[in-house]
Amino acid sequence: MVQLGLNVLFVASQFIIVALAFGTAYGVQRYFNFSLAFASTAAAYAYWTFKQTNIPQLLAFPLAISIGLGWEVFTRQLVFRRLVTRGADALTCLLASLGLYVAATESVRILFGADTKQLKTVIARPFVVLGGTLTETQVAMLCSACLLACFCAVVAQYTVAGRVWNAVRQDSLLSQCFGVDVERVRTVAGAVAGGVLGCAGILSGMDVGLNPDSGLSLFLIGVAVAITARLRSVIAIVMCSVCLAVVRESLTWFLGIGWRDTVLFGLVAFALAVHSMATSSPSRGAVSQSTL
Amino acid sequence: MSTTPREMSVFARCEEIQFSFGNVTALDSVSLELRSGEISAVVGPNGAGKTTLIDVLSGRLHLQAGKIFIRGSHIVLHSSYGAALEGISRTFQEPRVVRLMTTLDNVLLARPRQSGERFWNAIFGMHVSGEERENRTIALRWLHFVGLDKFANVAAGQLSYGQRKLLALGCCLATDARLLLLDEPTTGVHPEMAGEIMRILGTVKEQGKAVLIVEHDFNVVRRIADHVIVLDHGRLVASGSPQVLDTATVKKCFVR
Amino acid sequence: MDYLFGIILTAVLFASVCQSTDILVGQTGLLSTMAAAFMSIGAYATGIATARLGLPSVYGMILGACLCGTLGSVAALGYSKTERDMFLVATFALQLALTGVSFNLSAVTNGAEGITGIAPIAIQSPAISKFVLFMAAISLLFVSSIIYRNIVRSPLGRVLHAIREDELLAQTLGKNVPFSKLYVLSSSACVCGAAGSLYANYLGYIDPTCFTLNESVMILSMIIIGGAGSSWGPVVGAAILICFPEALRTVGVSGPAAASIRQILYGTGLIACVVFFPRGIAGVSRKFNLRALSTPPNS
Repeated sequence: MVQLGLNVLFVASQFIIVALAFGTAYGVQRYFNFSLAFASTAAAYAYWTFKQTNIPQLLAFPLAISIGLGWEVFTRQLVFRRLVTRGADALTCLLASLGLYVAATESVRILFGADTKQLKTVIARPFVVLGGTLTETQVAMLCSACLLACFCAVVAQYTVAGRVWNAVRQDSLLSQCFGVDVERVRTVAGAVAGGVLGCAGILSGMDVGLNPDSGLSLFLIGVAVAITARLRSVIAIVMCSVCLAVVRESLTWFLGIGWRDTVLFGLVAFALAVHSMATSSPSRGAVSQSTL
Repeated sequence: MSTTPREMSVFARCEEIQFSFGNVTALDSVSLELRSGEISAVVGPNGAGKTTLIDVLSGRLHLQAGKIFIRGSHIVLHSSYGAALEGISRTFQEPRVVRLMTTLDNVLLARPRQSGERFWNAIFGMHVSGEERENRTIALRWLHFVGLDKFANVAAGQLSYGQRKLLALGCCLATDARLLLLDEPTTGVHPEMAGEIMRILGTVKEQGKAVLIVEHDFNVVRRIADHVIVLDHGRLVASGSPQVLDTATVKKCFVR
Repeated sequence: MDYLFGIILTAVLFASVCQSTDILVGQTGLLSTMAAAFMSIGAYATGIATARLGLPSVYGMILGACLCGTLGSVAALGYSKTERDMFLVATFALQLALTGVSFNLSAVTNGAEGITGIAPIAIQSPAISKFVLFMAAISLLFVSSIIYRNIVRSPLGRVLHAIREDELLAQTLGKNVPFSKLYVLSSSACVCGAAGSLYANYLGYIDPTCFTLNESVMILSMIIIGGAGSSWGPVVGAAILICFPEALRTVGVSGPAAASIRQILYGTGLIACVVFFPRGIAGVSRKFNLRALSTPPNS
């Protein structure tokens, strides 16, 4: 049971990181951006490549994260900005992001192969906690999640950047009227999300290995948590992450490791159904989809 | 006790209805009656709860307290679809039409109880042709009624703002609804078009339908309304004939 | 000859899947990435019916279609109020979940090994079996085309168009939006299940890798590239995206690389269509004729 609890903590930390990243982008961009799923894959594969060429870890890590960040900036400028200027709705942007994800992921599959690659070459002694074990990577993920959650809470509440982000999230048109460069905010938010997901992708790759489809699971986790928490606050995201992690790890514990991803995707589908039933009640003043 | 003709013609009655958006009370224990063959106008300053009243009566918002009676029966409106089944139709502040469909198709869409909308009838084409011809005739008649018959085959998105308002009104009428809830039907259109809309509403009233309009223009209210309801901060502050607009109570609501 | 037969049969089956899914995508505006999941259910139903229970293939097809229709109805009711982008993500997750179930529910699906020994549709001879299979596929395409045509030209087609553009308006005008979505999603699912069943008959086996997210994205790409909302666009899209990648074999590209290149084509085709050709091939080649929308049915 202790191990189950530690697994829940680790998985929840993973969920928190990706949900905060996804929420940062989705809050201002207002469309499900599947290309974010590739940001984590790109960063992880970049890190693997750098390690193959013996670039020091201290340099490889930030360089790899910048690949994830750069991917988001690149796609935003090349594809999404063009669509938004044309008045495309969220669904159109989602479709374009799906095309980007598919094309990019298959390109990685051709370049690197479909086999699972190991990111960690040196296996360190795991940490023993109350009879259970946590690997170095898992501890790193836990610490990253805590730091990120605190950072987001502080930035959202007490900084100009956070206020600007909140303003664009609540009403982009009004923010524009008040002189906010909405496109820049969206690009920066996407870049931050790409960087954070890149970090999550690398850590996840160190934990369980890396394949071209790794990013999709992480992305869908972020979607599930962000949708369930409705992006209300960092605390809501943390709590939803823990709840979803408990459900997933408990079901996986009893059903078997092979069911892990299946349970996750089932949870995503369930969360979306519940969310739609809960928020579609007309008493909440359902509004038709706004333009981006 | 015998009921007067005015009481018998009550189509809809609201009893102490309430609705809040979080901490903001949009409707606070509002009671009113809407009668067939009568145009009622809701007026009030911004944020008074006028559109909320229409949203509640049309089922778009769920009542949080109070009751709604339609033809004497207590009804719980779960959705806009449920309200439509009760004979209630509405228009929106911004005219909502299906832009990529023709004007005629928009009105055809509004026709109720079409057997061709049922899945198996649609696939096998059962009972569709004859009913469709009939509905086309009726739809063209409604288009003529609102003055858009020349635009029958024009895409609704290509109509002017005022024409779209007329089309939305035409669709509302084509549903054969007994209660029409019209949100600012003359706002944003030029005076000639506003006059045309008022003429149409007068004819609709004579057909025995109950009409509730939200209006900011007191001249329009004085010209066509039989009954005026004044809301302020969600509360009903006055109601009666259009003369009530000249009372001090009502004037105070609009002065801040 | 067998190779050519396989391509044509695959193109015909996917054309019927695309056409039935286009009622959902092009007419109702509900983008879905679980068409392949429905095909998978139909295929597994046939596999279980023929290989395990020894029943004729047609029972498997009926069972598969019924299961798909039921699942489609449940999904439609569960997501009847979901916004469109969330609906797409939900179908994404459902597709992945169903693929996972087919990998892990070994007692039913035999796990990663799948079900082999699916009997051909007609056991008299391979040639007759191929002929019957091909005629069944053509019939399915014919049926899905008739369904498509009749729905689009009927009052139900108007309702679906209204739902696509403005769901609230459709509700306000007294249209039963959740049930309309239920009908189109379950009928589309039935056709997908039947197509999956026929495909399993052709392959002679079914395993979890036959109908994955890749196939669902491919189907969506076929519809978008061919032209969502047009009667022939999805069929053309299916034909192009099935046949064109086969040309890669002529330049010596085959195996896993060919599969990946095909996916890259789908992805870039999707982006290109969304950015430059929103109406796909059908939109490029036709003018939007409004008069046609007001033409009464059966006239």
